[in-house]
Amino acid sequence: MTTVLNGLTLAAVLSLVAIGLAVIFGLMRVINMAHGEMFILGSYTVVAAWEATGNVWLGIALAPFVVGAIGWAIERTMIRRLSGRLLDTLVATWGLSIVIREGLKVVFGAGSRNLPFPFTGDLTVLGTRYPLYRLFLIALAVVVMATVLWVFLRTDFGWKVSAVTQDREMAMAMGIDAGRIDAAVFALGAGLAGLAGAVMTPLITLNPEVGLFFLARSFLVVIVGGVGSLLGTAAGAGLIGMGQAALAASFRPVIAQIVLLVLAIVIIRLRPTGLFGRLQG
Amino acid sequence: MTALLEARGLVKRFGGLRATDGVSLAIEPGEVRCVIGPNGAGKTTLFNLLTGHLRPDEGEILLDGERIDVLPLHEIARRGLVRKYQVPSVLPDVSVSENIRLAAAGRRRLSDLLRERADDRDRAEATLEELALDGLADRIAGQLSHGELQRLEIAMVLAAQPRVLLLDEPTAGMTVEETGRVATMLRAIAERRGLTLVIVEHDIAFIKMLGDRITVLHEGRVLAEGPHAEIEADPLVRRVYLGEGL
Amino acid sequence: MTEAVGARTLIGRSAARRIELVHWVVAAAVAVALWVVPLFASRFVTGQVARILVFGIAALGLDLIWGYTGQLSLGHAAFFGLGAYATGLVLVHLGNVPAAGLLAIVAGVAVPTTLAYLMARTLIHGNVTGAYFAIITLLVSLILEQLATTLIGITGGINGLYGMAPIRIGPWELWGLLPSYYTIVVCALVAYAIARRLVRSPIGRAMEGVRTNEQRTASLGYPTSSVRTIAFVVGAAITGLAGMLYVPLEQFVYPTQLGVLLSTSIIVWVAIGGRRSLVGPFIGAFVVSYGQSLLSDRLQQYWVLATGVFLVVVVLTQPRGLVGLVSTAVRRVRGHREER
Ligand SMILES: Nc1ncnc2c1ncn2[C@@H]1O[C@H](COP(=O)(O)OP(=O)(O)O)[C@@H](O)[C@H]1O
Ligand SMILES: [Mg+2]
Repeated sequence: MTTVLNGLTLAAVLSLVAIGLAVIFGLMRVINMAHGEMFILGSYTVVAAWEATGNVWLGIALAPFVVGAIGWAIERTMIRRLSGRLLDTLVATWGLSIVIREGLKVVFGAGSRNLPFPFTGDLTVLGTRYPLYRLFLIALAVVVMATVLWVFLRTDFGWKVSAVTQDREMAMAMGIDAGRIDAAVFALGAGLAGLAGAVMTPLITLNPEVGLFFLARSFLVVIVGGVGSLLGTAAGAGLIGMGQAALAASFRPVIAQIVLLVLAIVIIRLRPTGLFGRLQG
Repeated sequence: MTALLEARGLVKRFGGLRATDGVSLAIEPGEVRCVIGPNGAGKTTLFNLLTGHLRPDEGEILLDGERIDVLPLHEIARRGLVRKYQVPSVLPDVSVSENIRLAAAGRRRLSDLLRERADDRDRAEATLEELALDGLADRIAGQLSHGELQRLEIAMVLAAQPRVLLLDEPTAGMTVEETGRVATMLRAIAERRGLTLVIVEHDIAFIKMLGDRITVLHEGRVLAEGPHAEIEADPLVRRVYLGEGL
Repeated sequence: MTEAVGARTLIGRSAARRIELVHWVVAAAVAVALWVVPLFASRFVTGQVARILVFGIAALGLDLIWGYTGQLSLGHAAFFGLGAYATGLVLVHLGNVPAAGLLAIVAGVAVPTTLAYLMARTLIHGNVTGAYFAIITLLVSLILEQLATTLIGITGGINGLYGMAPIRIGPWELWGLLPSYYTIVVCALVAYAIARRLVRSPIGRAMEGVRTNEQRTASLGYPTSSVRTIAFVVGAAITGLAGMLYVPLEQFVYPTQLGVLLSTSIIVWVAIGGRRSLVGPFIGAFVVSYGQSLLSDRLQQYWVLATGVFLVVVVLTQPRGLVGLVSTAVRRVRGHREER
């Protein structure tokens, strides 16, 4: 049971991180290699706020906005200039991820740190005692994902996003400012990753290298879940999160990762659009 | 005489649209066939099906009596069915002569590709001159004008030594003189090499110079087929083409 | 048809032959210059030159893949590190077997090449290319790095492999600075020649075609998946060769040779030197290493950060790197001359 809950926790966080990666790829054909750093910037926002005020909640509240603004700036200054050059964008954002990672080392030091939980305590779920904070995290992710789904499926903004995703030219002909949609979605994706990083801060041994591992896992989520499908991302996160937790309970972490990578490769070979992605065209 | 290239009951749907709707076609060896039809008639889609760019939903395609509609793109080309695209398609980053040399070696086995064969190179150079591209040999293809690009791509598909050559609007964007020159040259090459040609064209003068038979496509179907005198007189064709000058 | 070949193109051919000759004369001169380096330079400088050449070979491998076919391999150090580990593991665990030296050398190239072939078979031939492929190479390199750190009993974990038996083939010992240096110079030349042969063959043209117009290339008869596979496997083999050569030079194998940082460095060498140029990777490796050696100890900690900045700036402003910069300048000067 603990394994299941651990899996759920990881799935919750991964879905928050991967959603940005997937939606940005679907919308702009851009893979943001600095996406793991958006996660870690969220964590360090919490660190900075905690060091300044001793309050963990403040950082968690600020993180999505701080990181969202950073994402917006990245889109405006860099991504936009490389439009249509998928692999070059990959390289440039990869360079950016190094800059952010090393910049964080300069500012905060390369060492690892552990932050206190904003609250402690356990709750008994189906006969298993489980930390309350982790349960909070799962609940938060569910609420946020539901909100994101609502935004994409039910609002004017969401309608514009899917119009641009399907046919950029056509959407622009209809008067949608595709550039603004790009920037907004990029900011949203970054902000969600930042939020994930922020709430995960107390659970991880934080150092600037952590982002890479969340990036790697998010890729697996996107490969398995398919791009451009929100439910697919959530389902992919569930699969990878639970898989990781189940495998990690009995094997070394590295074995778990090998198994998941092989699984992901089998899936893209058999279904290039991911398990849950829509077939297009 | 059996057909060299044959299509039987080809159907291709895009959503609800039947872009190709039961097209059958038989091209004899050495024949020059023109395919005409208004915009959107399904001419390019037919070519896409014949050359493996699209898979038919129904029907089959035979080259020399063998099914080719299941083969990958490059296998179809290797069997001698080569195609010029409607929008000129070349490698933009390399020179004109590199483009033609790429085409000249295209049908070799992979293991023969580590060294350029002298006859491929000779053929590339001969084709370069045949299409009066020798003055542009060292220009990067991406810098050519539209007409020059058309000529380059024609040179490429000729250098590839096709048995059946499919040309999709080869003279679009060319001047009248260029068009005439290309028509004369194609006729000469086709006769000299015993090449079979299938050409989509709008230019009537061009068609009269080249085509043995004409196939008229309309809304994905074959509307008429025959020598051009017959086609010109066909009342149905005249109606479809009203205002287009046939 | 041959009589149609006019005088002009025949002259063109002899000019091409002359350029080819000049090219190899220059290459021979560089080789000779490199050969005599140890006679004049200190051991330190000789070691630096050897390292730069190894990096250049590693980057050359990536350039074939990324520069020519446009397929980025984000985790290319996987092949470098696998070459190094294959060689190192043979020397550590099978050091006493007869022909261990030869086996170590062969394994150093064969193991990364085999991995590359398997990846190409499963991915490229299933039409998994582009960004997905790039990301999977990254994941592979991350996993290999972790394997090397965690399988302590076999790989020595984070401390790596050391105290290996030297590579011996008969009376010849490939170990330590000078033997490694000369071997590396020869291998750099051989790798360069192989890459050049490939790039200038019809396959090389098809590699350009795969990058810029895959459909056209396939519809001329080229099996583009096989072309990609050839480029990827040869590129990985060359990078694996570099990893293998690093072992006798450094006498030390460690997990980061498989990892993200080295992968990034390889990308940076190619990007800065110039994609789609075979000397570019060597120039890139030289410029970057030389730049790093100029930094004071205090600034070394910012080196990785600077690497990231270079990467962003080069991709944004000069996608063809230094070689592209120089060749544009040369063309401009020539253009001016012709105008006069
Ligand atoms: N890939 C495609 N997807 C959807 N519709 C297509 C596609 N290709 C062609 N069509 C449609 O099929 C019809 C025939 O197009 P096409 O073969 O290009 O005509 P032509 O070459 O005769 O002008 C047109 O209505 C066109 O819009
Ligand atoms: Mg058309």
